[in-house]
Amino acid sequence: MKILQKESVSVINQIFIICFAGSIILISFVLIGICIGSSDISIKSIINIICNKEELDPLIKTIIIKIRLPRVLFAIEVGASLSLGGLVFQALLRNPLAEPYILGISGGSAVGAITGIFLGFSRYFGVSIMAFIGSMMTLLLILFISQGKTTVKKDSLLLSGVMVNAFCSSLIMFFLSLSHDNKLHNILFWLMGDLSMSETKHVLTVFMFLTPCFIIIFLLTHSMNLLLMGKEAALSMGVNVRFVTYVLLITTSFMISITVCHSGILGFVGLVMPHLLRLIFGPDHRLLVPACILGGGTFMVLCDILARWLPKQGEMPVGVITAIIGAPLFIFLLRRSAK
Amino acid sequence: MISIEIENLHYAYKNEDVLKNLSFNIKQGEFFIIIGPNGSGKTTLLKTLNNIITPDKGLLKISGYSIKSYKRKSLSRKISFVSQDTNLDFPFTANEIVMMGRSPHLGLFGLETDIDCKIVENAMEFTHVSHLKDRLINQLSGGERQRVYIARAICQDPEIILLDEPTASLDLSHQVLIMDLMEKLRIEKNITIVMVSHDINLAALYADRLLLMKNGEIIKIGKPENVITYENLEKTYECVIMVDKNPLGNFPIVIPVPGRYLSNKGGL
Repeated sequence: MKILQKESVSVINQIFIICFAGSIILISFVLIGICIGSSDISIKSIINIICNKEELDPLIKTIIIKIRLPRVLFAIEVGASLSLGGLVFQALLRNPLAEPYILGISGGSAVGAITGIFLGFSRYFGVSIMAFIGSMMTLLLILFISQGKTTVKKDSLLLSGVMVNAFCSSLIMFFLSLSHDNKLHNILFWLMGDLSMSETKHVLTVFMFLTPCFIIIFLLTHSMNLLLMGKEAALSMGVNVRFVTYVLLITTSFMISITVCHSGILGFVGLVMPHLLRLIFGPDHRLLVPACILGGGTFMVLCDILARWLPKQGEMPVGVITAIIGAPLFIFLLRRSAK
Repeated sequence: MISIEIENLHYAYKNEDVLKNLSFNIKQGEFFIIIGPNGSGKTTLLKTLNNIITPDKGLLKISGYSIKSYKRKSLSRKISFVSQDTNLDFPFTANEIVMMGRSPHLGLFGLETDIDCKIVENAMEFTHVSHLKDRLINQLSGGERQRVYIARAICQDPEIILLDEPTASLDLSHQVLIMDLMEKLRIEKNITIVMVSHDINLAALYADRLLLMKNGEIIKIGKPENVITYENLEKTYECVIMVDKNPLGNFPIVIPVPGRYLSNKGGL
């Protein structure tokens, strides 16, 4: 099933090809994403804006720069970090079904973010920290459940995820019904995920935090390959397992909380893209990490396009789309792995 | 030359002594097999040799230097480990798995050179898995998979290979094949082989020396014919066995005695 064969192309060249092809696909979806919306804009006028050739209608210019572009860019950030998060958790738990949403980490992060808003922390710094604490708490819970085992039993992992999610959802509802803040009443935003709250300022802050996370994870890709062989085998092949595991866990939780506290809970993104890309490129993380960043971004932009384009009026939360695609895939994978 | 030096090695887990003040040496190029009942601390001992488990007390030297003085990566160039956990849910090919064995000699990204590819090729040839190189690891049989993992261990270019029950759940021909490979490795490359095994008869045929363990203590260490005696085994395993001479040569052979030959009522 592998498109690129190892013997013919070196790993570096493969990474280069993935980055090049992935970027082209991503950029074309970005252009489509900017075009589609309540007022249609042609691709030509976008190109003209980029090239600064033509004086455009200031209204269209504002729509593109203030609304459409930040939204599409934010979709890329969310998609990239969630797919990468899924990929990392799958490697760390040696379980192809692991995913931030299924494990309950997104939920914990959302509860943290809401607690932060509820306590009146500042929107960016305080809330993000609270989201991070929330995700770390759920992560510790998962590690507690899986403690001391080389491979976590699939069912116990999934069951605990279901319970953590149920608990987090009820906590979210609880906080929301207590609050008088009108902003918080946008329940769907937290429970189904939504990209409509994106602003240029968000996009830049999130980008600043995500880039170092991506780099750290990319540096550890070969260690992730070895970790898949099991903790003991990885140790015996010279991986400092404890260090790598902690760095990956903290980086990934941080990355996910940064996005989730701006986007709400988006399920299954970390499942769909890593699996699809693994089918194409094989299980080598050195290829999968860049592929997941670009592919996850593309996937989320596509989902956002569908969420805006499908409804007759207005738009639907993008989490609806990701769950409609992801949940059946999850059941399919579960069935296949249980054979 | 001494390869592994152990003095007063002690390890406790949850207030229970798993290894109790063990002291012994293993020579370079020796085929050394650890036997003993379940829960006797065999696997724990094997894992301390690779610093997967850190002992509480005692001295453990690898090639003359304390194991603590080795960095993880430099230790992995000295010792490789074939673990019992061979389950894998991810679709790696056999070739990719064996290539991972080169990691201790490569940089952070594990980028391989032509020399590494050649080493991998040779190792796979050595364990007779060259024809499987593009097959997915989870589609191979138990014996084939074990040989792939051994090829990976060889690729680390180690002085010592540790194996945790490599012949468990394999058929007879694969058991002999794996043991033959280890013997060949020892003779051709002077690699020290340290193995945990439940198969006493197979161990007696191959080992230079055996270590018989029970409850974290050494019962007997020495040549197979001195370790595998009726007295030692009955004391260790607490069941009735017969020890005879293997027709192949001066090797002891153990025959377990079924209960029906012992009971008064149901006896034949």
